[in-house]
Amino acid sequence: MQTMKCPVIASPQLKIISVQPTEQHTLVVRQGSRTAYLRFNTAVTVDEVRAYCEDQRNWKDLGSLSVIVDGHRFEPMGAGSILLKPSTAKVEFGDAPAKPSTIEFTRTLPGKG
Amino acid sequence: MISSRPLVGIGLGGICEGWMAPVLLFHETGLVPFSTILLVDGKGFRSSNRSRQYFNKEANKAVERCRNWRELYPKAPLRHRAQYIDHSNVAEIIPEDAIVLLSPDNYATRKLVSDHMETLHNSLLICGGNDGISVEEKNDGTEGAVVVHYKIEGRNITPPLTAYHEVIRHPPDKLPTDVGCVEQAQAGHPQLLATNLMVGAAMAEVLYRYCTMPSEEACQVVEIWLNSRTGERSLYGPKERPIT
Repeated sequence: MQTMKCPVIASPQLKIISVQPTEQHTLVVRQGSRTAYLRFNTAVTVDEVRAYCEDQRNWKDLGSLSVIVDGHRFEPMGAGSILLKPSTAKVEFGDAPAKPSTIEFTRTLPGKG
Repeated sequence: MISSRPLVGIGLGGICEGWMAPVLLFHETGLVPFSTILLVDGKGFRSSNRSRQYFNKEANKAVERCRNWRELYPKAPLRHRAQYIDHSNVAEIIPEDAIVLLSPDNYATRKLVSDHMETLHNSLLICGGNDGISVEEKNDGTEGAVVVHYKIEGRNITPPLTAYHEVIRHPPDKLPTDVGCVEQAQAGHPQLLATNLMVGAAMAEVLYRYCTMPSEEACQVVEIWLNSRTGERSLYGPKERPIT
């Protein structure tokens, strides 16, 4: 098992809700009533995730948020809900994957007309 | 390329200001003729809408818009339906071959229409929205997006709305017909005219694109994201939004 640690900075209401392995490995992140989806197409390297998550532009919908990944290459195939503590969130995934791939961040579609 | 098909406009608020005039111009000039142009909305104009919507009377939006545009385009095949779309009428309102411009105020209607469009053999759905102004949700009202679902002969040319958007798959809200008047009134968010117009214009642009270009060229644009404050505009094509 690999571990991804997600300290929450200046965003106490952030909650990492779940990893949805059936939907192309989507990490659901929620702040208040807003939700963002961090999608891992297949597998990713730690460096890819770190670089992506530390780029504030990728998280503009979530305000000042930083996610730091600790560990080696992983694939978010694990079941399970991830935790809701305000200060730190520990996310456990399944076994390491064979190859890295790209990461795609999908923002919540605006819904007013 | 698409021609002389029924067009249905659903949700006639601020974003409609951006696509309505181009739709009628496309039709009148013969660039993209439609067999009918049906406007659908159960909501009425309110005085608070005046900052970003054109209307004479505080009447139902479908009725009022139809009346106003008929004065400019008396021969246009404009129709109106002064009711919200729901499970009981969606099949009647959106027929086979329909082109739908969808810009309601909620996700549940987007899901309802998207699901129905998936059952059709030939259809073009162009869905637009903006984030509205909300301090609680940290929205400044400047962000908007347009998503396209196109089907030919039962085959998806672009992915359905539900393929990449969890919020459409599982809407956090309800259809207007499923909520009370008080809840509906509270659900409204102020919006920005500039964002509304940019989203509506992008919907019209996508409509023109899909109606006039060969499908393999048109489908190079599946999704558009824009921001009226920063001027940013991002296009997503089949590479970023593959059909799964």
